[in-house]
Amino acid sequence: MSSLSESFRRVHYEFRPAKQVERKMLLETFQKLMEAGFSIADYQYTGMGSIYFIDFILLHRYIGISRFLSVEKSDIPKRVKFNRPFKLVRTEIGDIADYVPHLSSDLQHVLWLDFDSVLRESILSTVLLSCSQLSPGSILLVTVDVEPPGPPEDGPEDWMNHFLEEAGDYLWPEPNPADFSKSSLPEINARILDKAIRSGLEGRENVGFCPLFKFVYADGHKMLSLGGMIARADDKRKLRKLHKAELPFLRNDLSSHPYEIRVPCITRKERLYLDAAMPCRQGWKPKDFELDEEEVKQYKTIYRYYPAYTEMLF
Amino acid sequence: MGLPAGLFETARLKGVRHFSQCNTSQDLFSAKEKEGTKMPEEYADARPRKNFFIQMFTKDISLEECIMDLIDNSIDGLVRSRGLKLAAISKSIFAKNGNTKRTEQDLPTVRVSYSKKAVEISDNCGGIDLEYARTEAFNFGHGPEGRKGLVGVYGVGLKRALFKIGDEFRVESRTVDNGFSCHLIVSEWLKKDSSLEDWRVPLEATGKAKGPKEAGTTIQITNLHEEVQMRLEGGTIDTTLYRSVSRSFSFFLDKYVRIILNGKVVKPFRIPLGQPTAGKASVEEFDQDGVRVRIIATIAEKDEKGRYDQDLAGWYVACNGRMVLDANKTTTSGWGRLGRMPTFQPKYRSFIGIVFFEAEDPLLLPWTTNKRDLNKESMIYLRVRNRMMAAARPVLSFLNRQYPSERGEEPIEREISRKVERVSLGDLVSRKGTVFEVPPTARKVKTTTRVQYDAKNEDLEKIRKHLRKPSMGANRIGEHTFQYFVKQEGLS
Repeated sequence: MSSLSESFRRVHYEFRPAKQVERKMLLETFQKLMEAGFSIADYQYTGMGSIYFIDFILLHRYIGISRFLSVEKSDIPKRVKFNRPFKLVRTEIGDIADYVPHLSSDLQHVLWLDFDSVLRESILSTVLLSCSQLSPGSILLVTVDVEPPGPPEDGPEDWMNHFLEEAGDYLWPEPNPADFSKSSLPEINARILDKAIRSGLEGRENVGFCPLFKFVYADGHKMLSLGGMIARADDKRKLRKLHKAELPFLRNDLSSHPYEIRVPCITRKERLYLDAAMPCRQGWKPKDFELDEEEVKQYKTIYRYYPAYTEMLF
Repeated sequence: MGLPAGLFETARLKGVRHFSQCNTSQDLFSAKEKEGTKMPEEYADARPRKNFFIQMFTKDISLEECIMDLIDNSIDGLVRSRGLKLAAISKSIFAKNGNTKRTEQDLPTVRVSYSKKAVEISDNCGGIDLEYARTEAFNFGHGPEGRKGLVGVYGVGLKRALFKIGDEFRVESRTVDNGFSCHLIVSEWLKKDSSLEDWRVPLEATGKAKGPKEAGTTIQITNLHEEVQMRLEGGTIDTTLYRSVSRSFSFFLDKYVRIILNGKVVKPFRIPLGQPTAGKASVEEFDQDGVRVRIIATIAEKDEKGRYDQDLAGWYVACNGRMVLDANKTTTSGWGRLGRMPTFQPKYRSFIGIVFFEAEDPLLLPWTTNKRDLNKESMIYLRVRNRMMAAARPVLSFLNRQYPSERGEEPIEREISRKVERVSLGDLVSRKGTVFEVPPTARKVKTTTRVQYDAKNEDLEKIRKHLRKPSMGANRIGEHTFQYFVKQEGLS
């Protein structure tokens, strides 16, 4: 069986700082959602835990979620099961789309379709299915690789053909290769996913999609994460209680600019120095070493979520 | 919202005030009031023309559909006279033991006979009441209450069928209370079209039926149109009509009515419903906008030869018991629509999906006027199609897994699908809210791997000569040389 999430072999998931920042931003949002009246602790979390299950650990420890399902396409089922962090994480081997119809309508869900491949029809199909299945109040997150699809020698025309083949109905009429520059690919992916979400909600009564997240980050490959709530009118009212100032990375429109998670490469000593000055005033720069204003600005936005790595001997 | 610039100019010149031009509601009111006081001096005609109606109505309908419309008319007789409730027909469809079959003598019968001279349909389904004939049956379209509970949704089917098939018709009907007859030569009727009076159809009151079993309607259509004669003389009408009637009325036949086509009793079509032994089908039931919806997705029961018939695979959709789609594999039911369902392929030949829509008001149902297709734009269908996809998804994944792209394992799914049990709709629906599932079984790991490689013909020939086996096949040579190596190296 081929595996969708092959990236776990390339990189240790614990050492993906941008991804970790994203997870912590999600975590903080969930905490604020609980304050706004959503009982996220009672939700079921369904994700693609690979063999690391980092999001599962964080959500259990910091949010208190205790219903977990991890679905992975994997040729190492025993290893997946061996690594589950808690007994309450149920692991299944297969295509996550096959498990979406089983998500109970009596529960609310956080569903993270955390793909590490470029956009394909099967991903859109899973998104569409999820939007038709998830109960109101549930949160849907979708992550895809937004690097150019295909081999390195390919160009915009090949990329356009990829999207035409995989997502033709969700593109605009008569697309032109000039529209498919490398820098526009995250936005094209976002537009297609937005349309798939709307298609999935078509025909559902009294619910709409309230966007919350639109992250772009790179721990190697550039990734896009979109997310939001399948919300009824009263959910929408509660969502208004979220303070934009406290969560500046929130996006309430999928066509808006993404929140770009940039994690500057700094040493531990530099980090301690910078942290002592955080949150800094605008234009502040360290006197004792070179770091330009832009890098300081980036650090200021993510320092609260920045993971600390250290060697642990055990 | 404003009018386009050019149109706005015209409107302004003519003194028409658009909503956006009115500053306040008071302003709007006074403008309306001023206009309202002035009576128009002239009117333009906007009345229907008989020719237009007849041409338009009959253009897009097949002969089979017309005959089925006439059968619908008979079934509506059962609704009016025998209290048949179509919105509750599911009670018999989903009866656990399916024991609602009645003896042939009990059942009302619809007899259809056709030749190039005439098409005739007669029934003992209760007949059409004289008052109903006077005020409703011959109208083009129902009044607001007229359609409730009937198969005849739009109130056009009977007339459309009569006009489509021939130039002359006779309708004779008797209920237990009264009776009427009607004779019309359409080409003569068309000639007079100067007022709505000319749209009336002559009726003659006749005697009532002797008893309930004799109450019914006979329609005879003669002077058949040329294209209808051609169809009736062609070799396919018997088969296509039988197939359509058997499928469209499959939930009525042998339970509520018997239909006889040119002397042949129509047997109800049975959807080959199955499920993996000890497994589950997808079943979902909910109410939506006044319509009860039931969705089932599963795999088919095999035929007598132990095979799946691809012609029977796909989606079946029934509205108030009348099948409007059967074994559909097109985009209408979601196949090949991006992100919804894949394009139908032979590997899905055992897929069976069924959707039942039921409503007291048939206009809420997603059927087209000929009741042989889904109205894809209808609100209820838009709401349901994503749920159809969700029900189908696990079944299609199961069928996909029967044909893995990589070797090494014998797909257990193929073994599971060998053990399929027949199941009734009643059994399925009694387990509400299930998702298609097969029992978890340990995967059988394949212990052999196929080895393939190219070898030079001259080397093969040398081996044949060496072994003195001139007709030894390449496969055998491959096995022999492989085994030779294993043995020589002491690996066995």
